Amino acid sequence: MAQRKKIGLIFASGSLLSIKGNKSIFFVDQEKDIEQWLSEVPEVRLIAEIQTYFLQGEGEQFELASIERILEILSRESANHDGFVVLVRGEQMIRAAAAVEFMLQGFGKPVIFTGSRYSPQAIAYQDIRKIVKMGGLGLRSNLINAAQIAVSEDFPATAIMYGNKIMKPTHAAVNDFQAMNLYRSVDDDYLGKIDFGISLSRKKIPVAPAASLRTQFAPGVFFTESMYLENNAAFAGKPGKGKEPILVLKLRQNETVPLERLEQLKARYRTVVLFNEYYVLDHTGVSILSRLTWPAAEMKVRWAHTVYPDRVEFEQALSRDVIRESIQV
Amino acid sequence: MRIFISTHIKAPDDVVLHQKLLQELKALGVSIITNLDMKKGEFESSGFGGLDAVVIDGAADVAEVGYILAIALANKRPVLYLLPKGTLIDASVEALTKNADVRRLLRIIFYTSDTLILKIKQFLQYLDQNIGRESFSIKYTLRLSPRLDRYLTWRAGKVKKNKANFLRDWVNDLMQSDEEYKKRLE
Repeated sequence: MAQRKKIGLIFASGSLLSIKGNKSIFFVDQEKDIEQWLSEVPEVRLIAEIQTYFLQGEGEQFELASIERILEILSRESANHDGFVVLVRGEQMIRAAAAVEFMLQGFGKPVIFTGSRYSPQAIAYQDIRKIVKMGGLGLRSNLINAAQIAVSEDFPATAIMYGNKIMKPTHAAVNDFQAMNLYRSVDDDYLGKIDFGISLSRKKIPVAPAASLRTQFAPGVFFTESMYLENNAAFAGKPGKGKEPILVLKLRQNETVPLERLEQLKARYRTVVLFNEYYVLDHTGVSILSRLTWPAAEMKVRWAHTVYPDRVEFEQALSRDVIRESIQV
Repeated sequence: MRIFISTHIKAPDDVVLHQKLLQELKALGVSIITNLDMKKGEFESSGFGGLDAVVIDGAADVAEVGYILAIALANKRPVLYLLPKGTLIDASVEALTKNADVRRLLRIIFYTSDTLILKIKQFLQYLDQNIGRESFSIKYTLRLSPRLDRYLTWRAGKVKKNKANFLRDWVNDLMQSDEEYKKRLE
């Protein structure tokens, strides 16, 4: 066999495995569970030497701080591994992976996200076989495929590996919660696919400049999907003396913000960003963000706010296609 | 029977041996996919889940060997891991054999160029035997005339079986007594 490579395996939820012939489950809730967990997937050590990093167990809430901890480990341990596999549970995976795409531009090594789709609390014993039959606990194969991609030559990309598809996180969306492929790429363009091996499309990896790694998000970005909820944290109370930095308001298609409401928002926030996946109608004095998925929009705004405190530079960054995150029609 | 063969070609002799192997196995009615075909992009995504077994030439000095072994085991496929006589087994593969679940699926065999085809045939014969509990995972649509259905219902009822179990047992008995079928892999 070829010389062994090294992978950093980060546990940040998403570790639920079916074991003992699908009669039981096992997951990492504390650091001491990792050894037994790895003994349940001994095949993964065939691919590379594995060094593990425990960030959080299945019982903990996955928050923005969890993503920052992933960024911090990747940044700190970059030189020690050929690539990384990050386990995150299904519902948070796109956000976390999109954050890595923006915040660790020019990272230069594969960072492959995968993980289980279910929380252990959501699995009853009598459902295990049914879920496995539907392909729902396929972490074992996903992990092995992710590990193999993480040691691939010339694939310095952040990607999501799930089912038989490898995709760019900023283009990923939940496909079908029951299907083998939990995610799809919204433009039907994939970084690779699995059949009897892994085929990677290296030409689709964005060329990033030399590493400028960010591991902490600047505070002060608010996201909301409704402009009418008065008790929404984004609108509650009267504006203070200093303006809050940024509000990102998700609009429905062809929705406009009434002038009076727009003025209220501009009085409270330094920058108001209006977002829709496809198109935002013209509004005066605000930033517009479209042709992005919602998780990609969230992470693009957080990244731009972190890197460009200056409002003009921030708005310029939002208008650029920074990491090929825009969905081309 | 559908198997995946992971092999490598280093010398002209390997080409001859590989072609001979494929010819012999195809003559036995085995459907074969190899990693060499895969590189031609011939296959759509059905993956290892649809295979009956995987045969790996462990002597290949490529990273893909570890991956193919890992993904085959993860998909619970029986694996024949072949090593040229006198070769040292890789430490990571040896470590795997300590796991009881893996031991059930993985057979590690040493071969020479004279015995390679024989060893693979023996593995296929081993698979063809009744190994543990079979799962009835293949689904058919069977169309019958009302007359045949009346008979099947009557006959299955007589032996207190449902129609599906009656047909399964009948096919199994037929297979057990079919000497021509049993000899096909020899």
